[in-house]
Amino acid sequence: MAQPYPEAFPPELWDAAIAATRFGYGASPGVLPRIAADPRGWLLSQLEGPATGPHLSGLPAGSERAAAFLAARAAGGAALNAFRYEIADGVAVEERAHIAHAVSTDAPFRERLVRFWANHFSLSSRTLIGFAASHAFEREVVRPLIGGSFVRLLTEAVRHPAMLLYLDNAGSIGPYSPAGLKGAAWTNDLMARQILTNLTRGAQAEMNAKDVSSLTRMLTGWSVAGPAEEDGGAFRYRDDWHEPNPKLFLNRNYPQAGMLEAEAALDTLGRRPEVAYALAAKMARYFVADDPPADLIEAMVSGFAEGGNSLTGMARGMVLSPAAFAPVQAKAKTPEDLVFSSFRALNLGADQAPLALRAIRALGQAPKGGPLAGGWPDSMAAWLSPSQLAERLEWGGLLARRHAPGGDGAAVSDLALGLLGPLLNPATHRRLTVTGRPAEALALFFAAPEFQKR
Amino acid sequence: MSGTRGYLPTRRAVLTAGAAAALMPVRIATAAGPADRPLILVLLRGMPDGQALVPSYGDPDYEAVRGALALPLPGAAGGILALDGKVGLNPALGALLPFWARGALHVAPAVAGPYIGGEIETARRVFDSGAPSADAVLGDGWLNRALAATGSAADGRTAAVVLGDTVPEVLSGAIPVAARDPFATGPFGPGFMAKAGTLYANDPALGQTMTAALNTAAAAQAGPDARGLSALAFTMAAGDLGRDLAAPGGPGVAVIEIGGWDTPRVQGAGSGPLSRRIVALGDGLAALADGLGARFAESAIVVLGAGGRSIAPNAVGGTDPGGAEAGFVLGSGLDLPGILGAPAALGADQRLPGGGAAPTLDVRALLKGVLARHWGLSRSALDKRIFPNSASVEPI
Repeated sequence: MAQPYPEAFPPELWDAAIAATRFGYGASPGVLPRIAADPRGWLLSQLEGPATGPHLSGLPAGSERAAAFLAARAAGGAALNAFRYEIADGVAVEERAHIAHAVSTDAPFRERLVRFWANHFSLSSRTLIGFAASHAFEREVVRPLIGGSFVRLLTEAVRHPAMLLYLDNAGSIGPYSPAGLKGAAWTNDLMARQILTNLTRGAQAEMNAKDVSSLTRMLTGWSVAGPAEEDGGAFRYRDDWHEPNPKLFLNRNYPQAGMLEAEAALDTLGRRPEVAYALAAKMARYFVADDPPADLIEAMVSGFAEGGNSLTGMARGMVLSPAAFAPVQAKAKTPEDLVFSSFRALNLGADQAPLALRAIRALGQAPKGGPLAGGWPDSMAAWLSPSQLAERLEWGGLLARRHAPGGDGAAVSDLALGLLGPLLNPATHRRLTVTGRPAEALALFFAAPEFQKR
Repeated sequence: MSGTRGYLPTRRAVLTAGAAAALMPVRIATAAGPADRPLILVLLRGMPDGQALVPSYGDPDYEAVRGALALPLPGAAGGILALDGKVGLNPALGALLPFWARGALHVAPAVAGPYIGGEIETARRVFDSGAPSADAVLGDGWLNRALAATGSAADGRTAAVVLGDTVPEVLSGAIPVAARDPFATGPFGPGFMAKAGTLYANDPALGQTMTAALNTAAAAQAGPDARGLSALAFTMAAGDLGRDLAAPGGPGVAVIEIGGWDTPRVQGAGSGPLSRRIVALGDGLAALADGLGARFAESAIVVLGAGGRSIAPNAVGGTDPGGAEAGFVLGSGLDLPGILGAPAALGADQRLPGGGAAPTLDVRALLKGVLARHWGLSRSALDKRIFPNSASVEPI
């Protein structure tokens, strides 16, 4: 006999449902009552501890892939194709391992934050170096540092060999550097522009040409050791490539100081208020709403500043703001969100990671595969075109057929109440109670707008 | 870590099919037959766009002719995956690269049978039946006749299985074949989408999207390519299918129809529904091979449509059926070159009147070569019984 739709839900169940679905990857059976005692505490507790797990050990280092990439690039044409063929199996292993971790972690909020910051520092796999090293970048930069300061994360991200190669700074030689004076000068302002916009102040931020030029010159010499050098593929600062003389950056004078110039510049930039607002707005758009309320962003900026440029502080500010727990589901689930939440609904584990990966790819979100500068979008318009919605519904139906519970449709309506609580629409619940076959009922539950959104 | 060996492109012999036939005599297997050497036929229904699957990027006209459908060149972001300097794979087919690296992927860039027109149903009939021309009406399919020629269906075991609820013509004939849907891949009853639609009746954000989705789904179900599984269902079921086929006593032949390849409108290039379908196809093939496990070494997976599409986009951003298609064979024991046949020629004066590519390989030559090498079928059987009146078509 199916549970009736409750007359009213206890208030803590609202917060529990929102905590699990909006900030986590959805509830598993039995989770909502367990976290209802302190949903925000459940979220905040996930910010402690390392953002890694056993699935992520034993995977190749980014410097290893960077060195092999450099060797292939030096050899030219056919060698680059061969490089891609050679690493394809290994990259697939990494993709599956990362999915296995996401599917099985008991800290889904922390995992979402990892994905947010990894997407922020996007190294798209549409490029060969991104294909080769973006997962390693996530393991080596994002996961260890999301508990710390933004400036530390920014600096280590810029320093990582994959990023230096992706943004084409590894060969940057200042015109008045010792090497430059011998005729080897070559600079590229792509990294400076990306740092001044997407990585800090936002994609639309205006740049001052002098600031771009100064930052580019400060970054000369930030390079990657070649495959034949010691620590091939790792970061190497080359002082003889570095542009001498002081630089004026963001209205501040930076005396000549080698590698320390760009470090200081990143530190200054990363502490500017407009960066705090841009990052907070981006995080709010990712988690809460395509058009987040101003008071939410303020709370996040305060948390960030009070914590001392703290990424955890920004996440705390978000979680503790009432605006983050508005009862309207304003975000579409991305394909990853949809697959992970379906898996949690059915208690599917890491052994099903290959299936999850294929589903995520077939629904259009190949891991690390987003556009070059901004990574994957997260707006409703980006992910819910009519054909995408039809594909999602079909996918939910296929999964439901594989994993339908026994019994009748009543089992599914009870499951739905247990997973979404007050977020479940009474009309959906009614539909599930009158659907005889559990596979069809489960497919309808996955198809419902309250499951497609969070 | 995988067992992929270091790969050097110079190790591949990139030969035309004719040269390959001259250098490598057809190997007659002694214990040939589906029980020892499984064959899986993946049929892409609706006439898939060969230039989307295997672009002729080395052709100087590629970007100009493909226009909005051109994929970025190798080396560019999201670029074509180069195979031999002339043709490559759609970047969505990255899952097939490890097979290329170890010599287990064979690509036919411009393959067609005796019918190269644009009627989807005619093309399907001619391909499935192995007929020598569009007007020849045979009562059965080439794969059923090939199965009969191996003599292996006499022991009463299920020799062949179709994943789905109908047996396609290619596998119809004297040898009985089971159709089954063990992986529950078929769609729900017609009411499912309508019921799902009612859940969106009052949703301000998604109500209109759902209405449009229902219309898209209804149109797809009425289309000429609405046969078999969707690519999404294939990618979900492929691993299980491989394991099922690899199990002792399993069927030696499986046929899978994948629908949805008719793209007369807005087909997109690097993104969109066709691109996602191609991802699902490539990933599914890799999962199928993975599911076969050790049996993959003894298996052959043939991936073909019944024809291709126009090279240049039409007025609504899609392509029109007709002309040569691109096909794949996955298998490590076939002794075939990597590229089977010359690339599709893209120039206006080299295309067929309907805008499609002129074939550089007869699909029967490809299938005869696979059947001869894989099951040891004789040239005589292939020329007379399995592909009637095809003595002039040399196996690859």
